[in-house]
Amino acid sequence: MAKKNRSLTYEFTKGIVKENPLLVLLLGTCPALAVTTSAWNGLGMGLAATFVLVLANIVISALRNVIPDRVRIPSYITIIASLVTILQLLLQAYLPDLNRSLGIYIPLITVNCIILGRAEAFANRRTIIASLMDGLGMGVGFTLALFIIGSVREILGYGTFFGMGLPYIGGDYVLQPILIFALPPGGFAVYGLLIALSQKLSNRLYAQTPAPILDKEHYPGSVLVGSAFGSDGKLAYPVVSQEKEPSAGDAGRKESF
Amino acid sequence: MNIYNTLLAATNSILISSLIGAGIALALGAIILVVFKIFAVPVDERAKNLNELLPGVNCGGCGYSGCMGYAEALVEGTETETTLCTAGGAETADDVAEFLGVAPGIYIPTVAHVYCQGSDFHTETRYDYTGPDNCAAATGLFAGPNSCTYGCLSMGDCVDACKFNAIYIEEGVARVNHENCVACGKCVEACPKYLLHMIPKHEAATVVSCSNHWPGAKIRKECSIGCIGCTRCVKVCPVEAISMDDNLAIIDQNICIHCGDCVEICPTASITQGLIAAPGTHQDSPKAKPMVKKEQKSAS
Amino acid sequence: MIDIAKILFTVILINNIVLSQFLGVCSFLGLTTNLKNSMGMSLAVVFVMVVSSAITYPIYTYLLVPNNLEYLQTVVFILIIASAVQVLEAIIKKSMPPLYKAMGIYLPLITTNCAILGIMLLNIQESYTFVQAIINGFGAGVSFMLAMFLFAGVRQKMSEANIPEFFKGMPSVLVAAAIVSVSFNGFKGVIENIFG
Repeated sequence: MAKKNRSLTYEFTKGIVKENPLLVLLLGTCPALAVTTSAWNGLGMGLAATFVLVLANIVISALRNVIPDRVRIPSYITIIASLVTILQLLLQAYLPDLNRSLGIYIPLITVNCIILGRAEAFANRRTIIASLMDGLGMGVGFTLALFIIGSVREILGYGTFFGMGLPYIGGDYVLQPILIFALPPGGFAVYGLLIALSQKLSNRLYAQTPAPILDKEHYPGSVLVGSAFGSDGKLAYPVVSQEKEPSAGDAGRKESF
Repeated sequence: MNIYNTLLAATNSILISSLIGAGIALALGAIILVVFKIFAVPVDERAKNLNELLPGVNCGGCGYSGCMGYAEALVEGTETETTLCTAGGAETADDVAEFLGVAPGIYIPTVAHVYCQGSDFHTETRYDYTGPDNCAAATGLFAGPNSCTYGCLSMGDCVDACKFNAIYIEEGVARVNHENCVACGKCVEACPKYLLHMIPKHEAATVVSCSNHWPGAKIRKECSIGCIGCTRCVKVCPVEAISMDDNLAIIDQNICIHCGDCVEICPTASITQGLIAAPGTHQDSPKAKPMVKKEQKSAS
Repeated sequence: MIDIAKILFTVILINNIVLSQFLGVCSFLGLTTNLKNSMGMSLAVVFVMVVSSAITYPIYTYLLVPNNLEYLQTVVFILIIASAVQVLEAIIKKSMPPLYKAMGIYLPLITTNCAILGIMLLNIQESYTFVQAIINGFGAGVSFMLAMFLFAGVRQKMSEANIPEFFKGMPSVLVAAAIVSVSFNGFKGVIENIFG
């Protein structure tokens, strides 16, 4: 089934909501939990990852016809690792505070599933411009999600926002920051709740397998021609061929699904 | 001069770093090549080609861990039965036999069947069950809330196990849609009451759809469509296909000629003939009596 | 001896690499659906951790540092890890087939697992000696195994529960992970009191 090449703006916007890497594709969860102890950290990590993602997409897309298939993965990893080293040195020079607070998670951008995943799934078969837009979209979506998680954890956990104290929280006030949100358990919990919220908002349910509709009464020729199984072994995409024969009783048939 | 010195230093460091980096990469590459040569495992091409002939749904019906497992066993020679693929059916069995160059085996299509007809009309619940919503848990609590403790709890463990949407719960009992069933056997494993078994896929398949071993007096109180062990079917069967196992009649599917005599003579309509299809298509036999519920009894 | 015990204690219980340091969360969330996968993956992780620690440490100390090339550590480490995984897979596939059946398919997944690279970098950051680095690697693998086993059990129990609609899937798993992570918080402060 050939996929039409969608427009460039679609490639950009899909990374923000529809296929947000953190909330929908569930890639790159390690930094999401580790560095979002404050809004600035989250934002910084997101921008750093976007930088690497965009450049990696461009380079890999430019070299997609040059790299032989057998050494695909090691070469992608090398390219990404080199870009991350460049990022590291830049951060050490110009943003040393961010570098210190992000710690070892900057070199860990190398093995961030988003970058390798987008390289595998997108950059090695599309043009440079399309890969650029895809990288930008995914990066923006990633940064947005990180920023939200970071802000929530910082506000609830420390009572500050971008380092500035918030009114009526902390000190002698009744509202005290809940430290656990800034600790690892809070990271898991806030991330999970954010996914639940985004699922509710985008109204998409997880791991729900639609039943193949074999309505033999109204679609006499329908057969289950094939299926694709998800990773949990359940029917993910039932493929039903329905050739409908026109019948007079159409007007009265009740909704079968 | 300063610029020259900086440039020299820069070139030096670039040179050294690239040399060391490239050196490490080359060394690692060489090590990998050498190790791969020494530790090469011969891959059997035939297994891959045979795998192409199999349906590729990895249902486990053949008893191996996926289609590739069955293909490898066939190619190695540890497995000689070419008819084990239930999802592929007779066509796949013939293809496999042709590929291996052996005589085609006889593929008997089978389908799963629920040995229980205890729907909401025929049984009642003994207690309000509020535990986890699955049959395995419910059956752990005094054998489940159904009035017949051998019967279907209809919480859907079998439905969850089926990858082909071939089993559904209707009116409080599980039913198999024989059109979708590929006889992989997952539902058979899933049912905690062992109500599902494979039967040969005959359109007039005659089965005593009941699993209870209680004497007739007791089962009459708990389920109106259960086998009461009266042995009338045993006596009427022309080919002696029916035998009694502790108050339960069992029809040997390999002997049965589908004449239907036992179906007519069964007083509780416990014997069914034919296979069930999509939801809504099954109708109880006209002889089947609904259960007289306890509330009605005390009222009347 | 106290040294080794301290390192192991820290990395397994107090700073559990999955639940406290967030390394290897992707595979943690993905593979804990059943115990067999968890065991295979954690075995593979232990192997790769020990082997990688043994290789990366000398290369860093004796090749990169004398030439002022510390900034190359990311690239070099990831290359070593990727190659070590390939080599390990080939060796195990040929010489120990039952072991390969148990955990071989998880080896390629480990290349991009943050845990391995993270622990290698931490070895350097904490200035461990060679032996300490290997112990740390081994301890990290065990800590990964502990977290996965515990969580696989939790998920198994969760699979029978009635979960509200929008929490099905990842959200419920993450909240469960949060609670398990809280339980590990109980170990903080232990090390100062045990080891003085």
